[in-house]
Amino acid sequence: MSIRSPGPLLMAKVEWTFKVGGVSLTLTGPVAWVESFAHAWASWVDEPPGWEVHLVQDEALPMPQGPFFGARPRFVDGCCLLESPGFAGKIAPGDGIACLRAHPAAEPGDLAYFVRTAFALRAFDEGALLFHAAGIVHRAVAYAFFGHSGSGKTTASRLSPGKPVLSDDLVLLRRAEPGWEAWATPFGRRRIGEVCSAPLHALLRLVQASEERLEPMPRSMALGELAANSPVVNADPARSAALLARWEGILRLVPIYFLYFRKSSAFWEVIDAQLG
Amino acid sequence: MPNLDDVLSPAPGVVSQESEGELVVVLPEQGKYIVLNGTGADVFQSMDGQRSLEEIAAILGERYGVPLERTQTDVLTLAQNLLDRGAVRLRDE
Repeated sequence: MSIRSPGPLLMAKVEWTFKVGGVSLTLTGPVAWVESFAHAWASWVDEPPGWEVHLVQDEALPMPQGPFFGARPRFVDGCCLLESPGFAGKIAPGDGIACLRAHPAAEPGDLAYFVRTAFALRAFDEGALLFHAAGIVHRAVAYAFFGHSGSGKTTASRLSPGKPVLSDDLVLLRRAEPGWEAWATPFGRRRIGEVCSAPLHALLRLVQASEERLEPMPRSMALGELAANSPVVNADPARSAALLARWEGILRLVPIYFLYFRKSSAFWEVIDAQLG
Repeated sequence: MPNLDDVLSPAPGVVSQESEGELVVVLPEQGKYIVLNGTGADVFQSMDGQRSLEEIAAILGERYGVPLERTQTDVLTLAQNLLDRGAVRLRDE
């Protein structure tokens, strides 16, 4: 574990840096809070300081009344505000500031939600993209399975025994030569952690059905679906045009299909037959 | 239901992009989107805060050779749909 104290007068405050797909964030805050990340995300540790995310305990805030996860990001004057009882978060990428004030009773999952939000914005501004999808590696390439909540992302991961799962919820997409890469993230469950990334081979919109088949997805619908599954960034009117342009660029290089599937691993046979 | 006299414009923050003859309209604050066909795209892109729905229906009727009565009904229906989804707003709002 690599945790540094900013100085002897601030021993109760530490910092810890993690990196995902080349995007680094340095968390600073109370020992207990930062340590919870250092333990849970130990394999993502990085040394050079990254973009700072400050976590500040504030007893003046009311007790949290529920998970912070329910808070929706609001964008005002270029800042992302994330607020709910017990939490006051502000992310200003232009000024290089991300700060969450939270009641001491905040849970690690609440803090992680803020860090994830800051990461999504930082990644987008660095040319990458956080994508609500399960990333599964098969024959050395990655397939991104996406769809609305309950469409089967976690199910698809479970039905792929022996294959590395980059994440069953959120993957990072980065430009590579040629094409794009899918990267593992600490946001969700993984399997076979040694595999961190793979070339992105196809985007697959999950549809539960009584048979397995692939159908091309019309480009316009694809753009809408993909934008809808780009968390945080898709709530920012100032980034919407760039978001659509980025997905347009990805769709020029990576095919997208509807994947109709039953709750069985037979969908991999269809993928192998048509996309392998 | 909107009236033919109404003037609509895209809601703040709404972004649209043409793709393969259709128009994707993204509603960032809702994290949702709408896909409009070519005719729907014409109507949406004519909602510029200047032209009334009646004027848009007349332009559409002329462009596609469709009776005015029908284009007026179609434009009003689409306008209601877009208002319901928060994609457009009335000029006076």
